[in-house]
Amino acid sequence: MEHDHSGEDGAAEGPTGPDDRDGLEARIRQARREVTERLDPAPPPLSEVRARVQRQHRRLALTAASIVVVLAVVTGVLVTRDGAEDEDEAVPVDVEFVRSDKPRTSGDADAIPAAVEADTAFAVDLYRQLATTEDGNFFLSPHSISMALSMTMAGADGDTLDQMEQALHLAVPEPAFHDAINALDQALTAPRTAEPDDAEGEPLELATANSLWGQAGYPFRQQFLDRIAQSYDAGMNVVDFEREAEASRLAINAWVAERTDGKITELIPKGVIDGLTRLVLVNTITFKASWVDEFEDARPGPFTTADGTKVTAQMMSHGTGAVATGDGWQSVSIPYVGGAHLLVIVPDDLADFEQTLTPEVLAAAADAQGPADVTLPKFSVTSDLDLIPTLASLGIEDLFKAGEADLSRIDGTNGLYVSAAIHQATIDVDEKGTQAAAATAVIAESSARAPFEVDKPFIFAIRDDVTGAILFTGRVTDPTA
Amino acid sequence: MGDEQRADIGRARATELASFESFYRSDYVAVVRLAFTLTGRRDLAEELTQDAFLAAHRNWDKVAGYEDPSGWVRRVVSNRCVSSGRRHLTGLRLAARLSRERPTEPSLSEDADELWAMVRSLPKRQAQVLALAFLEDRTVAEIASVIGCGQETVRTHLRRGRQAMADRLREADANEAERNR
Repeated sequence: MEHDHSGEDGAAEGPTGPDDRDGLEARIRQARREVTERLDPAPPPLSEVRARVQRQHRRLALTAASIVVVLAVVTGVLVTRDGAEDEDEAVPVDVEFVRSDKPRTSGDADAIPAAVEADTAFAVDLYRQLATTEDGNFFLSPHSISMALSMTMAGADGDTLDQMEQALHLAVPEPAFHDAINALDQALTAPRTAEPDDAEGEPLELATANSLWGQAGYPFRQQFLDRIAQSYDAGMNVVDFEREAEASRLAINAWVAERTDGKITELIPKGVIDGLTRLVLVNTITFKASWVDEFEDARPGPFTTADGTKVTAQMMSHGTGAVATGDGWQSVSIPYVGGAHLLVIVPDDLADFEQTLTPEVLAAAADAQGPADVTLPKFSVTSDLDLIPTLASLGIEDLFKAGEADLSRIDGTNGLYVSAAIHQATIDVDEKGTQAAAATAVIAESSARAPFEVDKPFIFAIRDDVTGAILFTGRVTDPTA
Repeated sequence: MGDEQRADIGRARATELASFESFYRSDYVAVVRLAFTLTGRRDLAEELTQDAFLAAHRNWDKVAGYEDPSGWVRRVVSNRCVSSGRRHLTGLRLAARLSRERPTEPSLSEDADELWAMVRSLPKRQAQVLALAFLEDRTVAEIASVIGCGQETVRTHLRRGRQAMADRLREADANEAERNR
């Protein structure tokens, strides 16, 4: 017995006897028959499905990481990093390491898709925002930024927390999100196998690390430290910012340099950490992978830069990838050994495309269709980003304002705010594969300033800052006279 | 624990497994077909279906107690099919497996292909309701129970969805006639 599908009252519960004036019922019956007759897949053994799902938890995690390299090659303007001027040797500093006695939990593996979805949406927002403010090439790790912010979020409350939740696209409530991102991080860093099975070369290596650097004697809440230990596998390095600000900065930079294999040696510049710093939250990520099919040695070849100039770049040829095309763009996915790929999107019009970039467009670009013989320039990009303007434009505003930030779940007061959020990232893509590293630091300072009360006679002068010349001077013994 | 107790537990586990296996085998194909009409891609349809059955298996002690486990798995799959985030992730996952060959898409006639594409282009809820009605020939009451909404809502979705499709078909036919003149 077949039913009418008009939705008229009562009609769908009874036999059809359809009044098929528009021929739709006949089409529906035909379409149903065809799907039923021509789509007859056998259910795979459940053990196979389970094994696939276990593998996919890792793949899903990598998707977030792969987004960091999107579009890195299309602008063609090489950025050189300023030479490190600071030749300071790391000064030994007395660093005590303490950690909550709570071990890291396994997180919530079922929530990994939610964490990836949030990471991806945040990555697209970051990219689109930076595309409007950065000139030429840039490179970042949204995952590293999102990890550092998530740790900060564990200490946020009120409007500050609301703004962070929205900007990070949290699909699950804040406490559950820590379990999701914890599971994602562990999936990312689990040892890889050499996928596909016939691939030569070592599987990719991906490592992340988190750390806290806190002022000795500062009343950090145990709950906050527990959360950081359980979900981010980090303890606290106790330092004395008040008396040893510079030595503490060097100690943090040394820790980052070690975790990034020396690729990022000066994450926090001079002057960012001072006597008011109370807490620094740090994340690092490193990625090293070989192509499934290596490129041939690079040779000089033409490349048209964003402003239309023809330049000669080192072009690597005969790589293997899979292409996809869409409205105004083409993409290629080039696989690494170990279950990840470089997704390269070449838009017809870069600026137009960037403003219409969405997670859905990324998904379409990754929806590779046919095999391709790929020619790609060798490239290296290094970026050094002040995240505050970018994050503020994504809606995280209160966090960076003294007196308005609510980081009360860190210390039980409203006296902390984030005075700096810094990100550095670097990538090298060559014939053999890719090496990338990134680090993010979020620096929380006390908004309290030392009190200075003028309540007895004083001398005053107006002094020129540049020359030091005294322009005016005087004395007040009674301001009421 | 005595031998008898152990045997009881073993028997209970075997019964539970057999009951899930039979559910999986009997409903798998139909659920893939439903997912196919909502995604238009066989690989996506199969993957989303398998994910949903695995979730059912993990929670079988609960799902088996539901009034209609078949309806539950259809609800999960149809929700995942119309969730752009979920489709996005599954699509990325499939794209990552470059070396894996995609299963062959069923060869549908142009008319059938167009009809399912029209269903997919409707608002999410309408698409779910129409797919269940058109593919599985379900009644309003059954669709309401699967989707988890009221029968009146289902009737409204059916009426509006069907109307939108009829309008588009008429428009396409008129264009066709215009071209042939």
